[in-house]
Amino acid sequence: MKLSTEQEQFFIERIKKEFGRPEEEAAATVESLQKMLYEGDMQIVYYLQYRVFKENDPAYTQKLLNFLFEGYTYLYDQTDNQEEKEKLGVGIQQLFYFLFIERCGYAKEMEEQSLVSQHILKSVSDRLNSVLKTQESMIANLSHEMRTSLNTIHGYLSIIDESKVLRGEQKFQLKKAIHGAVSLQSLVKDILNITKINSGQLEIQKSFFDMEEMLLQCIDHLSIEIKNRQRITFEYESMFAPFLVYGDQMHMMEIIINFLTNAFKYTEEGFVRLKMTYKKETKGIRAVFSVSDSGVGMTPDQVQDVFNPYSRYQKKKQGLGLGMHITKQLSDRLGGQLEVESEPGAGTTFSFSYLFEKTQEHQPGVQGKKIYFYIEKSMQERTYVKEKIHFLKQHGATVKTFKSENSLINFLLNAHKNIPDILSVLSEPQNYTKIDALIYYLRSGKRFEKTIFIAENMRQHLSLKYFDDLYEYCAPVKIYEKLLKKETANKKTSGVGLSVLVVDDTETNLDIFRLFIGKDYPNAKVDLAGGGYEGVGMCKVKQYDVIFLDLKMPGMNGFEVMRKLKELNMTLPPIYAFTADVYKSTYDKIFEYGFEGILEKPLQPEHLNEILQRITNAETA
Amino acid sequence: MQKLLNETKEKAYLFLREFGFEEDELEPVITKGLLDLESAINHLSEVLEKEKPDNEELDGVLHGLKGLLFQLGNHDAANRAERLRYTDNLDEIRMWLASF
Repeated sequence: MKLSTEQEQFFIERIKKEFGRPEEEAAATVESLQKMLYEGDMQIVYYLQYRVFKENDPAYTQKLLNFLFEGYTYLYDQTDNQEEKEKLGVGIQQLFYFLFIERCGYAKEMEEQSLVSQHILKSVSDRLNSVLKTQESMIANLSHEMRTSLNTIHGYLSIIDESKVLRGEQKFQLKKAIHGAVSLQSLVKDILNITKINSGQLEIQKSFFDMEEMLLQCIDHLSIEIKNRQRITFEYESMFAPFLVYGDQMHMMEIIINFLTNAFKYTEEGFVRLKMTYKKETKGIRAVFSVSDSGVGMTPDQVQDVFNPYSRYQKKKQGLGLGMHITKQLSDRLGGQLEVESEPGAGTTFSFSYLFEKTQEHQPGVQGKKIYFYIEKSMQERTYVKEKIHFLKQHGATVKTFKSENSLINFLLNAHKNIPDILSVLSEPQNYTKIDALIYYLRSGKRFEKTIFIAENMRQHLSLKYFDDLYEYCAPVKIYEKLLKKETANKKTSGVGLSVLVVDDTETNLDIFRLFIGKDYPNAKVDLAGGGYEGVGMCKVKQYDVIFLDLKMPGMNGFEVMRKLKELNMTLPPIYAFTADVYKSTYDKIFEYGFEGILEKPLQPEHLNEILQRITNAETA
Repeated sequence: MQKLLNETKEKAYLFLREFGFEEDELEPVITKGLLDLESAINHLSEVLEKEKPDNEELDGVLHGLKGLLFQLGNHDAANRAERLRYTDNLDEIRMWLASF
């Protein structure tokens, strides 16, 4: 049996059209198809099987399927011979089997093999991860234990050193031991840090903080180094920042402390300068923290290598060379940028730049406070000082500035009213000692007892006994706030004790409220009511200094409680709505009902403290 | 429900730690908070299972849930609960419930 010329032509034309093959190739394919159909020659089947595999394209397979189906129907319709029809059927079945069914089986087999491989790979990977995890956690635990022991060793060595029981050679040996312990502490800290970073355990913890206060903490960390390295002048320069920034303060401090440690390590004499500048950008505030030194500096090659692990540009210096590598890793994790500029023999500047997308206006809590300054002439025109005074005035503080020593002394000796809450001195070093003695004199006569005396910008360590707080640099406003708060808290412990009622139907909200109040007002008495009726009942039997009232509660809601309390004709304390409904309509209704104000949910300690401070101030006034 | 509880637990520690509280101060508050959350979710399921859920009750439960989630630092879920207070489509609330 053989295809007729017409049938052959049919197939040749189809192949040319569907598959774009030239005449000759199409004719050869038809020849092979004939051999398969009528002689059982499998060559064309293997060829097509190969093509399907090679093309690996569903569109091609679909086209081939259509071609075979059409061809089969065409031949089947054209023949009346039953035997021929059966042969055609067998041929087409073979084709379908080899081209599609066998392929499906093969695919299935491959899938199973792939699943087995995946399973094996996953087991191996799990096992590897678990080994790595164990190792990392072992290193982390070991480092942690070592750090604890080292802290103990260092602590006891310092106690022996301070007790001055050792002298001469023994004292020298003790110093060596302390030095060794300090180096080991630093190494262990580095290992712990790098383990945490590598294992992804480094937790980013963001909060609002004051950049200047953070920088002073960094300086405190290096205070011994600053004091002992007498051939190095330490300089600190910062812009006045009237806002709080939202970021990971702890890790930023680590970066700056690493910069400072590095600067002291590679500087023999000259200066180390810490500087903070910032500027507003569209997306927030970009701050740049930089540390410059007049140390050995680096070659361009060393600069390129400086953030790599185990790189130290002077091998004789102690350490593993992990500090700047960790700094880089930390900066990357925080999303900051590091820069380094250096010249051999001229010094180095490292800077860390970070965009704080979230900032908050600093509410310094100085409303109604009297803050007086004595500022020596050379400081009077400094932008930082001017901005600080302007900021304090802007936030309701009464600020007075004494520009000469005589006017200050005259005031201190004669003032009987307008006694300041804070008196801050920014003067020449010799004047601080004089004023320190004057404070002693005044307090001996029970005067200015409630005034907080601050010595600022001393530029050197001075042993002053009667100032309440000492700063070698300009004190950030946050410090005034803290000192005033401490004073308020002291007042509270001396008997002003706040009495607070919180009404909310969710027990957790009450717990969190109590937790927050307890933090800054440990002596406040906090009563909790789980609903409106209970709240009203408690108000009947006890006089509160302030009430926080949830608005939406089952039974009697906040507005109904308010109405009920007013009907009782009793003296009501300030009542604040405690709500997450921050819609204008709610605001309007709150004031219509006579609430003092709103405390929004979720509870923010700063807002809560602002209210409590206001209440306390009113009480003490 | 476990998904939301786990997620909220994690967020609560992060959120409240930011205010300077120690682990031992937070643990009892958060543990209790999660129990409150569990019971609020159960309450929400019960309301939704009713043939004709009471709109006022539903709003109250979602409001409470929102406040609790806010206070526990899960602000995304809290905002979602707040949005759902204003939907007419109960299936949307059911779907949210089913998602955790």
